[in-house]
Amino acid sequence: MNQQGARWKIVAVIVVLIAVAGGAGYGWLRNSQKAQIRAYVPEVPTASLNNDLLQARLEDATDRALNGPDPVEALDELAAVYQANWQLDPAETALEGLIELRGDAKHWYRLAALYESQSDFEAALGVLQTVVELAPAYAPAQLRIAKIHVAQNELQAAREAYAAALKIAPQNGPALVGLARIAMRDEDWAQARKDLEQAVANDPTDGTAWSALSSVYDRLELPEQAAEARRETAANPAGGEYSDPWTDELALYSYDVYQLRVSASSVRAAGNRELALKLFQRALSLDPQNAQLHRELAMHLSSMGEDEKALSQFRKAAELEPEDSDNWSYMSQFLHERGLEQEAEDAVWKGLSYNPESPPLLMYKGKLLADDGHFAAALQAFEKSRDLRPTEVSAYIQIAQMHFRLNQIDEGIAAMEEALKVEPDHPLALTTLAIHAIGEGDRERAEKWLQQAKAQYRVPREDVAEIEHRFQMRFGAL
Amino acid sequence: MSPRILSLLFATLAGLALVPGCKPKPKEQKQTFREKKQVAEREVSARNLFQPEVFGNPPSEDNPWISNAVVVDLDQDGLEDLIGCEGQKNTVFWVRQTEPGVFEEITLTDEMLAPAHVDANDIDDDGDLDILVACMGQIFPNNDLIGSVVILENDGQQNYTPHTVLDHVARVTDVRAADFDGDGLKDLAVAQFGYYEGEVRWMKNRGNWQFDSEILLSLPGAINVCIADMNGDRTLDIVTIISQQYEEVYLFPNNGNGTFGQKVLWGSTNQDYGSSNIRLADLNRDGRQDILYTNGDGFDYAEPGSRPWHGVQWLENKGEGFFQFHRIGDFKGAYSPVAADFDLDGDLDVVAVSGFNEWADPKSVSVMLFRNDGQMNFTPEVIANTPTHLIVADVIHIPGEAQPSLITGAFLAYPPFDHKSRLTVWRPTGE
Repeated sequence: MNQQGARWKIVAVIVVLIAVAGGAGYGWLRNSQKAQIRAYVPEVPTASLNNDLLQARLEDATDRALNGPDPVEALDELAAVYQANWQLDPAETALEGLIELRGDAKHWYRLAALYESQSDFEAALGVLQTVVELAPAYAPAQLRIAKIHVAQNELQAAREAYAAALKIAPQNGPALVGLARIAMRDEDWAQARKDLEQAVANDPTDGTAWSALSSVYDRLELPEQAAEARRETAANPAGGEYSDPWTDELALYSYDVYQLRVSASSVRAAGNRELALKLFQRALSLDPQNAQLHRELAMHLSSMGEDEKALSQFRKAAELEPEDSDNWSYMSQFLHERGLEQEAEDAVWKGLSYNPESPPLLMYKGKLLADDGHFAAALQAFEKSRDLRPTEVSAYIQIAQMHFRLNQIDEGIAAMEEALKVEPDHPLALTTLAIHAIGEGDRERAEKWLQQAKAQYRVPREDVAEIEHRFQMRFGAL
Repeated sequence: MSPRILSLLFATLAGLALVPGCKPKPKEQKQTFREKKQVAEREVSARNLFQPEVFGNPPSEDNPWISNAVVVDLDQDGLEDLIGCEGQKNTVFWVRQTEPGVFEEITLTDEMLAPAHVDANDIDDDGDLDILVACMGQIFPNNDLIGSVVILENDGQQNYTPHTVLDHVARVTDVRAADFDGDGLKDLAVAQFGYYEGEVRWMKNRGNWQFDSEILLSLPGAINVCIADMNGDRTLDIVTIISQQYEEVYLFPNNGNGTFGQKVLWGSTNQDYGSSNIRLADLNRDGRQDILYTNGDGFDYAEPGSRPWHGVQWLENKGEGFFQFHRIGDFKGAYSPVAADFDLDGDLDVVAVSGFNEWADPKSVSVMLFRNDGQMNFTPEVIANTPTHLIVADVIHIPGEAQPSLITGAFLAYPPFDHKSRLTVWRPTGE
């Protein structure tokens, strides 16, 4: 054998040795990893699930985690399914395993969320510190830290965490509102105002910021600004939701239709319409005959501008549960808003054929009759709706208006007074009663209603000015 | 084999072996929730402890909205009575114990606007109990300034004259009385849930039914105000719970001069926690008032209903304004926690009711006993699955009966309505 041939043989032997060692090492590693994973694969609970699909999914993922080719992925799935379905003990076990094996920020974060959901704030804070180290740009972690500190009256630490969130996301509404709340605790109204005005400048639909701002304006004795903030609050009831993908996506593993609907609403409010759509679709895959779900999906699709798909879902809801009058009234509203008046009317009449005693459909019926000038018949429909649901103020208002149309002024005024018993500061009732009292020359009552209307932020200021003008014309200065 | 090749081989193996081990480990090994959990996995029944009976007027056809009821000896005849309110009929009623175990109901007024809470106190210091009424104006969500506080002045013969001492404010959910500033006059603490905006205030009594207000907190969602010396400084403090955008228990420690501090005692970071009620009780009998606390408010959500995190807890008063959170147990839709020694073993047990359980499921619980083992470990035991929709509970002692009875009230705003009640007394069976 020449020297070159011998060298090649040595190289070949080394290569074989490396391959064997590598294979052995890989096999050892796999076995070692499997043994490691096995310790973190929870036993599937049998008593507490009450859901066959969930049970089957857990059993399948458990089997894959124990015996499958990709046990870590299976363990990841198990952790998510357990946590999303409020099986916190096994979720914790699986998450601990994933942290041991992967140690990524997402699983630390989900572990923190799990501790937090059990009010174990100390543990959650400890874990969140690790999240911040691993994923310093994930603002929701700082928001969680801040909220925990607020919940424990640790305001300085909360302030620092909110500030850290703002460094990551300078326009973050919840962080600005959080800082404002701390300023309000310190009675630093100027700082609270600054933070909240910044929040509503960043997002004019942030109802949480508007509502806090109205209280701050009150404290600063700025009544006009406070009233404006109240109007904005009423117009923007949502707020305070923020996108938190690592927890929001967990909902996709839920087997609870109700929870899926709630999560869909929440992520929609946070601006994630696509995830909301997926959640509705998942809910429907679990409960395809659920008419309410079809209706909610329809409304979501409508908000996404998917009118054709939305109408199809409205129709499906009505087909599944024609006795649920909401299916017809929402469909009618949808059609009306799109100018499809005949179709909207058809939906009302069809709905009434199934639900002759439905208060909302009777209200629709009344409105349709009134639009056609049939005031007496409309009045009957509104009265029936009121009798069926006496706590709903809108029927009283419509009854009053029908009486006015029929020139039955006293009856109309009596209905407005009844409306105020149901909703004491109803804007239209207040202004109508004020104008009527002025017309009747009843200064005492006119003044009473006018003062109430002035205090009611939902009465447009121009209406208040008009009533004041009429008052002064009739009685002189206020 | 050359050292270079060997080192390559070891590096390859070492690299493979190290792959999964390079991430940070949990900072400490934690006890799992399974290990920590005190709640029994299997249902324990306490159904034989009480016998339910209709209390007060029999239920009518409609769905009652009993928003609050509290046991008090209103006519001070030595027998405990019950006063309560109905949020839809706008009534305040008195269920009088005319003789031991015999009750009759009297409507005191039907002119309160959506009353949410009643309490009795001698506001005018004339020796009889007046009734404080917290009026929401409207029970269901509304941000208008439609709340009011009305005091029904007792003429000594249980005839009442209303005095509206606060109105045109965010919806009022609770009002209690105490002399906060030491001037000998009963002042008021007021919780205003509102909707987007709410408040907690105290109202200084100027005499002759005139009060001045001081805002303590500008946040929506205040449900209860409770009064006691919580920090041992011999002044009466105010504890409140808010449950709207935030879920927090506040202490307003009284500085003794008509000013109050402010401290969050505990908060949930879950904005859907559903805080429903707090009540003070010295649960561990250490001489300090603890805070019993339920979260089960199904109104809190876009679609009313239960949540898996609903339950009962207590904040242990550790003294000097420090409190420690302890979970008592899970209970969907939990409301109105009340502490009493129901099993006569010398320690205080806790009962709560459910307003929002999964009523379509007949196994859903409406009245739950959390039995204290004497070491502050609580085991849930089912008292009843029906009637449903209960948000009110209190304890009444009937002369001649060693065990206390329980009174519950139903608020039937949402279907199903197949297990209706209005007021129910749960008399002990002696078992």
